[in-house]
Amino acid sequence: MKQALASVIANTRVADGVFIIRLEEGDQARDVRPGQFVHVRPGGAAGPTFDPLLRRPLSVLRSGACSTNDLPPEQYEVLYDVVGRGTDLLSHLRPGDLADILGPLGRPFELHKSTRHLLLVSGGVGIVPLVALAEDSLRKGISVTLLAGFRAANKVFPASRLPAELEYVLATDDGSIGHHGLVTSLIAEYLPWADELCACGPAPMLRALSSLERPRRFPIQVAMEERMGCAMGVCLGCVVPTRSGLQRVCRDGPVFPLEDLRWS
Amino acid sequence: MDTKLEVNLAPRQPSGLILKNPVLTASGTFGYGTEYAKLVDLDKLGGIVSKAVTLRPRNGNSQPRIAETPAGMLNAIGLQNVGVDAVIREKAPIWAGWSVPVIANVAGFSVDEYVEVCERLSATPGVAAIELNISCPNVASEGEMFGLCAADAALVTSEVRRVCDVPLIVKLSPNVTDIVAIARAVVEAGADALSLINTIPGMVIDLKTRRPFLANRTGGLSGPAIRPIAVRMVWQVARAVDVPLIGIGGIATAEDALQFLLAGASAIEVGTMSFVNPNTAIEVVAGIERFLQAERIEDVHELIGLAAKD
Repeated sequence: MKQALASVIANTRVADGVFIIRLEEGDQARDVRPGQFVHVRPGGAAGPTFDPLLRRPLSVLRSGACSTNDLPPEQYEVLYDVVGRGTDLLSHLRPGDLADILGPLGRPFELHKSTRHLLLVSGGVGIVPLVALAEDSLRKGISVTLLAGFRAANKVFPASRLPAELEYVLATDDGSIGHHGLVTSLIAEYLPWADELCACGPAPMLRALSSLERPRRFPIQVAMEERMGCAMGVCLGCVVPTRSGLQRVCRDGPVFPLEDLRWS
Repeated sequence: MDTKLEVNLAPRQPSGLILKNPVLTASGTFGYGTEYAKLVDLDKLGGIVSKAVTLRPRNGNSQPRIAETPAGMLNAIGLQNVGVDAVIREKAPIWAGWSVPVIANVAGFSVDEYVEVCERLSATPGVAAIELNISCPNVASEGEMFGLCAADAALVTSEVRRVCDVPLIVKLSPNVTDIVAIARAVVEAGADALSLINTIPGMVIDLKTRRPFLANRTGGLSGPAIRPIAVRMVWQVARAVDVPLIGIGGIATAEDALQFLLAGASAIEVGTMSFVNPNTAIEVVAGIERFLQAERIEDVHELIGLAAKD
């Protein structure tokens, strides 16, 4: 983990309002693990800004150092949806610009050693850490299925950016592509095949997983999304209730065993 | 040319409170110091002020707790902390091994609570001084009330002073009609130094839910947006009292910090900007040093309060 100026290599629109930014910073690319995120200071070519002020936590999509993909080992990618002025500023960064990045941060996914069939479930940009986990798992010979829910076809993460060995199943809220309805309604069909499930998405989706009918002790890990200030465990802006009291999504998470979480 | 950055924030105490430079980290923005140890060279800081400590552990407020605002943020954490027992058991032994002084920020809900926590922390190795937080705006109780009235502020200060063997700094609320009256009362009651300002209550309303965005409804505004208010208040208080002041409010650069020193602060605390850039405080130290050298000023004291003189 370090604070560094990473060089922007590319900043590409991959869906409606959705961008992948490729960054070069060797230590961060080497250290990042699936499920971890980086904290990106908004700014343009001229440098950082005070308005918006706070960094944006963005999950790492892929790293050249950790996976068998086409990225050079000193590069990594993060994905973001342009939802406000901070992410809009990011979308204007050009190759050669520098981005002030803190990370990698947070607790990564840790799969059971015996897992051979991994089921991933995402909602919206929650797909990002699961792509990192899928790449890492496929490399270890684990079979991976990714059930991915999006609002509509124009927000879908392009299959061309996923490993070919990954089974990619889509659901959309409006039925414009794939299954019409909630991605969680697809889980039952795949669950008997899976040894382990990892998920990331909005809180209602993750919460729905707790009522999922599944074998006793079937392991589920979820990566939480929460508004963050410092991302260093200091400001206590991102705490969530858990079995062992309030925990910080930025430092104790973002990945938690599902059974540890308490839904208010 | 060598420049002298050292300041003493408790000249009335025999041992003083000597900082090697006038830059500290503000309460609630630097945890217990340990969280940033990998990222920031703590030895380069003048001091660290801890997250507020209360008598019992506190969970604080519900989510959402923070909201971004123009050049600032609102927070309504609600004094979440591990409580004084855990601080003495788990944090203070670490502080005792550091060369950088750690000042424990103390919050409470009654005079007795403030007194008990301060008495215990003051006897704990690793606690260099106490910053009395009589100005937290985010608890639905009388925590801030002590900071809103000169008589109450003086009462809690004098009661704590009797049990406090380390330097005592009192942190003032800006949410008053006359901060000078409160500053005078607190100094009269025995404060070694004053720190100011705490956050300013604010609100963000969510257009979707048509309700206040924060679960606590209001939150404390911090960040560069409040800096001119803080500079003005330091300047006013500096003209009225003769104890060292610590300026706090949206400091992002050495130039910001120098404004506070000129206004009359002997030291400053970096707060919200540590979230944005964890090395802000270190960069401020280096920037002050560069400024003094460029201006051929040998001792930082030559600047302190220049703008507050008639």
